[in-house]
Amino acid sequence: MSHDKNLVVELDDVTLKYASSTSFNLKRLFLSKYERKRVVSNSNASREAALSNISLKFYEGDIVGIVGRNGAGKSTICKVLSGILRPTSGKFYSQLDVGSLLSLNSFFAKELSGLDNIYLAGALLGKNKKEIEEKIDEIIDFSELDDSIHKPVETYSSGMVSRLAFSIATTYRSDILIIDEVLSVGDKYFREKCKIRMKDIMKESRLIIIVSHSDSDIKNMCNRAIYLDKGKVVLDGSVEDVMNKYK
Amino acid sequence: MFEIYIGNKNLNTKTISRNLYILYTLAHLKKKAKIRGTFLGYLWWFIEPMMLIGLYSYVVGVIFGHSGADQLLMIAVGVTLWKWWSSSMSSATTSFRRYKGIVSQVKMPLPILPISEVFGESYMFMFAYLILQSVLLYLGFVPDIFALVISFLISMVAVSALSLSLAILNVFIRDTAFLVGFGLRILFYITPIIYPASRVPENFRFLTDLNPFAHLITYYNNALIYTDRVEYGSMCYALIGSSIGLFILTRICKNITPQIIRNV
Repeated sequence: MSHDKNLVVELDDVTLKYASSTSFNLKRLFLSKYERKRVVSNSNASREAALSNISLKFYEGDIVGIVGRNGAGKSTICKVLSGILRPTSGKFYSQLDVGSLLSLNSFFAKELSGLDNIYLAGALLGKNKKEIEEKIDEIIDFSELDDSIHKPVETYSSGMVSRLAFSIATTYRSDILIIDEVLSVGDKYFREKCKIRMKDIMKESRLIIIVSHSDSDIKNMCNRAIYLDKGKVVLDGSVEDVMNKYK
Repeated sequence: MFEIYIGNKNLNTKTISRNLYILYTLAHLKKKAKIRGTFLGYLWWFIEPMMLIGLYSYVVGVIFGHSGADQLLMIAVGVTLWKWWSSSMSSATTSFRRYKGIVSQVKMPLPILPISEVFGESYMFMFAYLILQSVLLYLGFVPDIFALVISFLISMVAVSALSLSLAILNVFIRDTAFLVGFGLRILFYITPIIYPASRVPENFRFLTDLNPFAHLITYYNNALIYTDRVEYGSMCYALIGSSIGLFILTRICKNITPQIIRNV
């Protein structure tokens, strides 16, 4: 951990509860008591809190790997860090421009072409038209989509989508980069290319968060790791300690 | 209690310009996506309203025998406007679900998504409007430009507010999308578009009095054809009322954003 560096993001006793368990649902009015319980538990609304009493500090230059089982709260913590979800209670402090954060999963508008989605993603990242157009060739080259860039994203394979997403997010750089499970998609050649690109951007981004189930991704890229379980921090420390505990 | 601190002091101006650019980009890309793969491309913006105007003019003028230049012009104006409003509302209703990835992964004000659908449809409306306006000018009807601008603003704000409320409802009650299709069909027939408001019997007059679209259609008809009947007072109230409605809905959307992200 790099405690001698500047503090850029801090979560202090953050709890996030989902309100959907109490929200209005027309369907429930027509269901029997038994079915109502089943629907609530299936819809994941029965979980008390997605994050409970999380206190974490992130420093400039941190490359943090977040590990944990499905439903541990990994994606939720990313959404809190990027300002999409506001904590129910606790303090969230950020020095980063939270307006221009983006996680890498498929935020694309499926009916638009890959090229149109580059414009859209650029706009969502706070870039203007000139800034977007300057980088378009670089994005298309890196994603290796060639002529497919003019086809709608709904015709793309999952590998093509993640190649484009990775190219966009690593080309239009922002203060914070959150990579949620994207490194596991794509062929071996492209994954190697991604790792080389990651090494470049590690030098420039102020904070990188990587969510991955791959031990090697976390070990190769991160300088710190956090193990989450059921919305709580089990361990926050060196990559080696966390990965040993997670096993 | 939840607290937030953001380091960048210039965030507000930057955020506003970013949000406006997102709105422009979504609206602009929507019109491209709509005609992708079609043979006639942008010509559809012209063909579609013309076919509807032709159809309703035939039904009303030939079958029901209510012909007359004024009547046909009012049908043309009404049908063109209705196409704009109904397409905006039906595509906005499903906008949060269609842009699920953006809703759940990008920090931005959510009302931009349904409102961008209204802006996108406005591009297409503009094309049909220009043709309609040329015909009206050729026939000697000079519009009241000021009344036309206010009418346009009222419809943009009112349709945006309705679209936003439908988009929010559709997140929590999925049946909304089905109901909107049916509801728009009913609204079309109870709005004086293919018949004049004067033909509505006294007993049913409340249907037009309570229907915001009936008032909007009247504003446009007055601005484009019957310029001596323009009532600026009533239009200003409508503009203020719809702006307040849009403002309240935007606040509601902001307050329930976590629930929308969770349920979308």
